[in-house]
Amino acid sequence: MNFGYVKDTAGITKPINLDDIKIINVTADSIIIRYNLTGTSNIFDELAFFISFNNTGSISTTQIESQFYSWLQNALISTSPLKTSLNSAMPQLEIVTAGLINAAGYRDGTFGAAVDEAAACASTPATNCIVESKVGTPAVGTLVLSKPSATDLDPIADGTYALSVGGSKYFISLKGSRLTSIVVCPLVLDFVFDPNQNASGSASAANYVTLSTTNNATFTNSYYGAFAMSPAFGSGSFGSCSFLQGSNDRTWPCGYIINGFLDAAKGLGQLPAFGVKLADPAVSSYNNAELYVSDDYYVTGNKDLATWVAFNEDYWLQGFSYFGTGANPPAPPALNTVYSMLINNSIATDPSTLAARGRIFLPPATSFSGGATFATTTYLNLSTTGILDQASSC
Amino acid sequence: MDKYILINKEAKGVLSKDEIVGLVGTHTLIDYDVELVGAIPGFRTYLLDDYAGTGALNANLILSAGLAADQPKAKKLFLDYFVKAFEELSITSNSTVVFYPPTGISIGTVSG
Repeated sequence: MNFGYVKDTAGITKPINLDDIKIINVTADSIIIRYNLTGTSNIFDELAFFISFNNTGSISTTQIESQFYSWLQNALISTSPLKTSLNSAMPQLEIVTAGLINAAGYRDGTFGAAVDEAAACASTPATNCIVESKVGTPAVGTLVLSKPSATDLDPIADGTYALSVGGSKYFISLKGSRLTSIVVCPLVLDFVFDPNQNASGSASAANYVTLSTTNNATFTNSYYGAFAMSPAFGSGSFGSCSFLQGSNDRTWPCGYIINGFLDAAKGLGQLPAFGVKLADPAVSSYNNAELYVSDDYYVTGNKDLATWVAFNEDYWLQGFSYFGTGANPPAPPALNTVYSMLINNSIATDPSTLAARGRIFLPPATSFSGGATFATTTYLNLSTTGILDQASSC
Repeated sequence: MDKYILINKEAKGVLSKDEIVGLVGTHTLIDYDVELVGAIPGFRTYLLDDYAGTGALNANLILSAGLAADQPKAKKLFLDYFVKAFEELSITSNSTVVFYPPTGISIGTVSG
């Protein structure tokens, strides 16, 4: 049993197994201890103990390597935790994290330098990163690392930044590549579409926001006990523009509404509303826009009072299960989540393929700022991140 | 010689006698962590021959109300206690040490 110890900037001390080491990679900002001979160009989900550090002492890679091997020699002949501390042996390094990198514990995001909250919230952070958090607003202390490539992670210099993750934007402060503060940017939507403005059997063109998938049965039998409409398009086909607002419109919810299968008794009036935030509010393009959903918009009809969350896989796992009140589950049958409606039902076995499996139709509209106008209905691909793409006009 | 950390279900003094619910062998241990990914925090170990996905041992952690409201604090507390057990094992001639979780954390379902 030969172990050394290393403490990260969260104050957590981890043992480092010094037996059965196969390879050690030393770079200017990391030491990777590998215990097998596979995946040597990668650290994600590999048998690679990854030590990431800020080189605050500006020592050379050669010196880092020399100090590390010196520490290793001492650690192998000592059992004293004090003598086997990597931090003590390499005081020029600020070690931000140490351990295996398990991709399941992280979310991808983007970041960029920002001097204050206003600048952060107005910016579009573009540098890739990972955030050690899976759902919601990351907590203070959360690790954030730059991701310059699919196989590498780097610490981020102390400072203030804009961070975009999970469909939300934040103004953050980092020290030791960990969050020391985080402020949620206010959400500025460019469009809101409310399907509740459609009356049963009668469409509201301005609010004909509706979803379709490649599976005929996806929404038919699984939402609000809706009437099983006859298939309008074959299995594996998306809803087509030509079917919209017609008797064969099987999109949810507007296709159901227009055909009289989704009325007040089945949730009309309390349906979720959708919001869209354009990538650039001044440009009439839905590509890379962010799709949001609100379960309580119907209460006030005021977008600034409503609660909005990204229409992404986090929401799919829990949303759309009940009426907007959250207290009135329709029955029968038992409701499926959006996730099960979009992912299960043999539509896609891999959530990552959803981008090509779900589609949303957005009606003609002009943005609240007036800077963007869409003259015709547009359909776009859904994605697990809530980012829309591949916009096409009807 | 293999050495083991025996995991007690409760913090020291909670039970009249130890209730060991699992063990962590150190010989092939590469890493461990408290994952805050799901609704229930999990203590996971990663071994030389079982390091992918959810790892080898997966022990659900049951938090007191106070710690449940601050899971990052619970994570650090748990790992601080665990590494102390690790350090104790490294300097003792015994083959085992018993790890007691900190007050406010109990070991729930153990799988792996």
